[in-house]
Parts: sequence; structure tokens; C-alpha cells
Amino acid sequence: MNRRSWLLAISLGLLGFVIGGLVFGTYRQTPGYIPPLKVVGDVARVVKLEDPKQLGKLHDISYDGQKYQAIRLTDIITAAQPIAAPEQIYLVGNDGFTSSFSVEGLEQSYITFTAQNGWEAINLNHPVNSNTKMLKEIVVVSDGSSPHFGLTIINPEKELIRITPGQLYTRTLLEYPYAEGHAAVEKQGKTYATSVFTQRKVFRLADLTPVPDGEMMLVMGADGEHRFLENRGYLELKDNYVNYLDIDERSQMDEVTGVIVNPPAASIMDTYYAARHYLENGDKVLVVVLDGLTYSRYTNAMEKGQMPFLKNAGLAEKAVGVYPLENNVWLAAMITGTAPEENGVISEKAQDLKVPSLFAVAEQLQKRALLLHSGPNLLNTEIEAQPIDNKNVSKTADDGLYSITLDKLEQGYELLIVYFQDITAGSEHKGDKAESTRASITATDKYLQEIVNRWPGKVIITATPGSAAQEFTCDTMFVPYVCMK
Amino acid sequence: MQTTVKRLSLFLLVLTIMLTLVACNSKTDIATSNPAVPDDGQEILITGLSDSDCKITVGDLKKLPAVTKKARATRANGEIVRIKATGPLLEDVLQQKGKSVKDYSTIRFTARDGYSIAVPPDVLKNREIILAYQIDGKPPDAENEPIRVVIPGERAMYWVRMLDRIDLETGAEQTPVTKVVFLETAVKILPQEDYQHFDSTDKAIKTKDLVDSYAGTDKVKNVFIKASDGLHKNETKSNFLNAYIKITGKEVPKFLAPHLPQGMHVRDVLCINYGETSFLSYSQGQKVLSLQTLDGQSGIALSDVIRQTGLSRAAKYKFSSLDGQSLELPVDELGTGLIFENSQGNLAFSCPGGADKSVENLLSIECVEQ
Repeated sequence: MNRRSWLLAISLGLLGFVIGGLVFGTYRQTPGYIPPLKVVGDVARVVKLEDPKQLGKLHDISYDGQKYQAIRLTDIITAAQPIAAPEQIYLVGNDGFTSSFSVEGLEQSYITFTAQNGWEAINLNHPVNSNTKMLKEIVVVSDGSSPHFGLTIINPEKELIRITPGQLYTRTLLEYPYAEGHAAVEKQGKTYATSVFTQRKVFRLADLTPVPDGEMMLVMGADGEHRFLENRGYLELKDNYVNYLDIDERSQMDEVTGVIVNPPAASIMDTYYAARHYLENGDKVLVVVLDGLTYSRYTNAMEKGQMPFLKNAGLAEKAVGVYPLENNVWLAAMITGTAPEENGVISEKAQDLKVPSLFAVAEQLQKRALLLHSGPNLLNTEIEAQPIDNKNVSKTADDGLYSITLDKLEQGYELLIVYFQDITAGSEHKGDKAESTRASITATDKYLQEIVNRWPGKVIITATPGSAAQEFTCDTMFVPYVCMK
Repeated sequence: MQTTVKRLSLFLLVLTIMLTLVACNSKTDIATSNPAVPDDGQEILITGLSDSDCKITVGDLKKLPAVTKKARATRANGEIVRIKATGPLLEDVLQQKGKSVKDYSTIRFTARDGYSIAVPPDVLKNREIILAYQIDGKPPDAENEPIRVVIPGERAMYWVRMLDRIDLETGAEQTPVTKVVFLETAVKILPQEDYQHFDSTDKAIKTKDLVDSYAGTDKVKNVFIKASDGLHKNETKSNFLNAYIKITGKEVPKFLAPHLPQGMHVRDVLCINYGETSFLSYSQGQKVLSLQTLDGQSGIALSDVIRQTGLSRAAKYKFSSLDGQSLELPVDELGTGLIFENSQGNLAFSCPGGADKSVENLLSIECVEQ
């Protein structure tokens, strides 16, 4: 072979390499479309399968004389991290065909992907009609026993219904075309317009429990949303949570946790407005917050004569709290008059306020203010927190706090907020009926009597639900609210 | 030798072409993802402002207070887009022109490639609109510059790239204000009730009485309430009509109701827009509007009242008193008209040019010929 031939061969080789690279690159960028298969319902993590090998090794199975490579259904469900105890599985096809069976006995249940049937169920032990083709969703339905998952609807007296997203998938849902907007493009003097909709799975509150249209309700979301609304919108089921849609207003609240139908007018946030009013009026204001004194515990204590001083103050209003049920979240709502989504304290770890608190009001009015509580810092406010160390001094945290509060009463503060925590400590360790819990309630009442009698101004007494309370219930969402004049 | 050189040159030429092809293929994405060189002089046209169209530059936008928000939107293909957008709010841009996003029924954003989207009133009312000159902390790239509209909470179809113009539209859905009623005068003939407000017993009127006497329209869906401290909110019609306005004591006028949480009460109410009627508090207006003087009287300029309430432009305005007398004046005769509190404590209107251009016990101002 001469030199010319060598050069030609090398050039052709390189050209082939480049063309091959380009062709490979083009093909690599446009893989065949695999429709997603979602695992939704009562799961912590929504799994979206877009590749048969996404969850690892495939199993070789034979069914009806054919061989398949498939994923175990149990592996898919495990990847989605079921909430509480899963009970039932629904396999939903694109055409609406759905098969349902118990989570028991899924050892021989598989999901495969074929060019002909898309995602397809192959249940070797189940009847043949459980083998849904063109699958689009796997719905996991739990027994609803998880206290932190699902939608709870209550009124001030009782729970109306508690339901999980998985359970909602099994009910009648409306496919609603939700208008997203109108867009247009101008080309060569002509306008091409389009309207965009999204199909939403929705239902009315009245589909779950009898609530008349237009009834007032307080809707709370996982991120501290707190909205007073009229019952005229829709609840939307989405993957593993529920949203609230107001179609007329075109507003949406994501991840609704609870709804209170006909909520009371009183709220723990009234603390801010009342205290601000009195401070601006020239009064001194004492706010006492009792951790763990839910409204039901309060009425129980009243009936049993465990809090004679508070009983003499008159019947407390039933005040609604906020969500999440964390002490610092509730305290932030009380001292800012705003819901968690607005004040920025939406979790146990959050401590920084995004809006001015009562301490800013006091500062503006040039009034001395103090927040007293035992234990670690709860919130970062406009004033420096004063840590209280009770070690080897007192029997309980509140005992020490009480002594310090008495000292501070004499020091000219015009806004004093004191946070007692023994009631919750007693009930969490030994329960409501334990002697120590009753003793904590009675001791707290005596502290109140002494402090309030010495305070030369207005007094607001309210509560937080207790650090063990996590669940949105009638018992945890309401606390007493007393304004002593 | 010459043949060898020719062959070598041919080989090098072929190699160069091939390497160039490969380089071009792999560089395409990188070229488009580089941030564009920011040009603060690039202009965006705003139409629909009351006076005339105007242009605003990127540099002008950078002088306004900027917000930085993490936003998430869903694209048409279901893909979730997450970005951190930095820029001024459209509301702040319009406030500079004496307007608000809420003044418009639709705002259309148009991109340089011809794409446009009309943002409906429910989005305008409920969402913040950011004119982003930074995306994820960097200047926008060639596909976004000079400005990208970002509306957190809305779908990506609203997030218009390469913003070219903003059309402000007041369509039929927008209810124009055609009448301003002064609260202080209006409440004089309405039934008043005792209202327990913390430690004091004050007087309050029912909002329903106010509306029935001076507004009375069934078309209203929401009621806009603005306080002198800047707070503003939309209240549902039913909540509003089941409430009170406290007119004596502290924090007046105060919108409140025993069945509404205190967080929903509004103190120091400046104005309430109910359909075509705006109820204005003169006492709160004095706090937030600059006071003018006319013939020794100090009060609020009529032009400020019109701007604050959004009263429509008209050829003539009718000034009515509580006792039913009225005065119609062409707009060009209003001059530096003034609303003030006279020595008897009643509101009055006066404008230069004689006593026949004044109204005592002023109740309302209405557009007569629009």
C-alpha cells in the first residue's frame, strides 16, 4: 500500500469516527419515550418509574409461555416508603381499568415494561384480570393509622372525618379542567392563540362530610398556611397529598393538613392584638402561656376544681391554634399575630421571626419587655432572651421560673411573657390521670394566682398544646384564652 | 517532494474540517448557557398607563428595591422548573407611576420572539410578579435576557422570557370606581350600635347599612380594604356584609366583627372599595396624604382623593352634601380643589373661583360624564 492510500485510509477512518459519533450522539439524545408509572397514595415518597431498571436488578419470570424481565411489586412499594400499614394496592391503567388486591401475598407479583403493553402487571398467584396493562399508577392504601399523615376535618366539638390520600383514591373523584391561561404568538401578522388546562382530580368537602356551601372554615397547610375561607372551592387529590383550590379566586393551598368547619372567632393570635392594644393604651401587659393546657384539659380541670383561680376568672374562650403543632410555632403566632407561613416559624427548628413581634411594639413605645421560660431558646425575637437555669435550685422547671418571675414583677417591666411547661411535662410522662399531673395543674394555678395578683396591669392567659401533641385533632387544636382586665 | 507536500496539506485540511465539525457539535449547549453581557440600557415598553406609554430600562429596574425568591413552576411537559429570581416586583414599578397591579384586569407580557401571555386578574390579585434581572444569582442568559417574568406559584407558561413589552389592560372585569363616599359624613345618618372593644364601649355601624345606603350592588365578589398603615386586604362579600365599622374610640375607622378573628380586623381604615363605590376616611386620609392649603383652610387635595381611591376620570364631577344639595363641576374648573374639615367639624369641598364652587357637609363625589 502506497503513502497516498495510507492517508486516504486514515482520513476515511477519522471521517467515519466523526459521523459515527454524530449519529450516536443524535440517537443518545432522543431515547424512546417510556410513559411514567407513578406510585402514589399513602406513601412518603412518590416514585416515578421511567426506566424498567430504575430500581436495580430485574427478575426473569415466565408467564403464559413467554419470558419477561420484571420488577417485584414489593420492591416498588418499598421504594415509595408506605405510611403506616399498607392494606390494599390499586393498579390503575390508562383507560381507567383498575385492579385491586390486598398487600398480603404479593410475593409473585411483578411489573414489567413491554413495547406492546407499556407498564404491565404480572401477578402469578392472582386471577388473570389483576394483570392491568398500560399501567399509569400504583395506589397504596394504608389502614390510616399514621397520626401525621392525611387530611383531618373537625369542628370545635368533634372530629368529622379523617382520611388519607390513598383512601381518597378509592372514592369518587371529579376530573376538573382547571384553566391555566391563554397564550399567543404572533407570526407574520397573524396571532396563533391557545388555552391551557390541567386535569385535576377534585372533590368537594361535602363529599366527605355534610358541610353546607358557603360555610366558614379554617384551612391549615403543612407549611403553616392558615386561611379563613368559605366552603365553595374544591379539594384536589395530588400524588400523596391534598390541595385546596378556590376556582373563582384561582388560588391554591398546597398540602392541606386539616380543616376546621365553623372555627371559633378566638385565636391564640389574638394575644398579639390584645396586648398591642393595651400597650398602646398605656397599660402594662402580662402574657402567661401554659404548655399542655388544651381546652379539654382545661374544662376537665375546671370540673374537678383543680384550677380554682382560673375558674374565678370566668370561662375561657375556646381559641384555635396554628399548625404545625410545635411550641415555638405557636408562641411565634401568639407574639406576632400572624400565621406561621407569614411569620416564618413553621417548624420546631425555625426560630427567626420574619415579622415584628410584640417586643418590637414595646420597643417602639419605649416600654421594657421580657420573655421568661426555662429550657433551650425557643425563638429569636427583638429582645435578648434570658436563659433560666434551675439546676439544683428547684423541684421543677416551673418552680424556678415562678420564683424568677416574682422577682421580675418588681423590676418595672411593662410587657412580660412567661411560659410555664410543667403541665405538659407531667401529662406526657405519667398521663392525665396521674397524681403528679393533677399536682402540676394545681401548682400552676397557684403560680398564676400569685403572679396575677401582683401584676399591676392587664393579663392574658393562653396555652400551647404540649410538646407530645403532633396530630391535628379536636383535642390539640384548641386551647383556652382568657383576658383579665 | 511537491506531491508529498500536497498530500500532507490535503490531510491537514481534512483533519481541520473534521475537528471543526466535532468542536461545533459539542459547543452548542455551552454557547447558549453562558450569561449574556448585561446591558442596562435595554428597554421594555409599558402601555396602558393612564397618561401615555413609557419605556423602562433594565438599569431603571435595577434601581428599584429587589426581591429574591425561590420559585417553582411546572412546564407543559410536566417538568418542574426551580429557579431563584432576583428583581423588582411589577407592583413597585407601577407604584412609581401611581398605579397598582390590582388596577388592571389583565396584564399581557410579550417576549421578543412574539410569545405573549395574558395574566388574568386572579393571578394579579394573588401572586407576586418579579421582573427578574438575575436568575440563580447570575444575569439572564441569551434565552432570557434582558428580563424574565417570574410569578412564583404559577405555571411556567406565565414566566415570559426575553420580556419586550408589558400591556396593562382594564377590561370589563375591572370595576371602575365612579363614586367616593366620605365615611365621616355617611355614618351620621346610619343606625349606630354599641360595640364592646376591649375595655371600652364604642359606637359602630353595620357594613350592610353603609352599603345599602350608598353602594347597593349585587355584582361585587370581593371587597378591597386599605388601612393608613399600608395594610390592604380583600374580604369576601359575605364576610364584609356581616361585619361592622367602629366609628368612635381608638383605631377608628375599624373594620371588625365578633365572629371574625382579630387578625382579620382592620384598624385605621383609609378606604373600602365596594364595587363602583369607594368609602374614604377623611381622618385617615389626613395621615397619609399631603395636606394642602386653600384660602387659609388646610385639607386634602381633590387630586389626591381621586388618585387614592382610583376614581375614574370624568368630564364632570358631582359633589353632593348630606342634605341632598349637589354641585356639578367640569373637570377643568376643579383646579386645586380641596376637601377640608370646617369649623363645625363637617367636611366641605371648595375650589378656587368663588363661593358657588363649594359644598358643605360633603357626602360624595361622583363621575357624571365619563
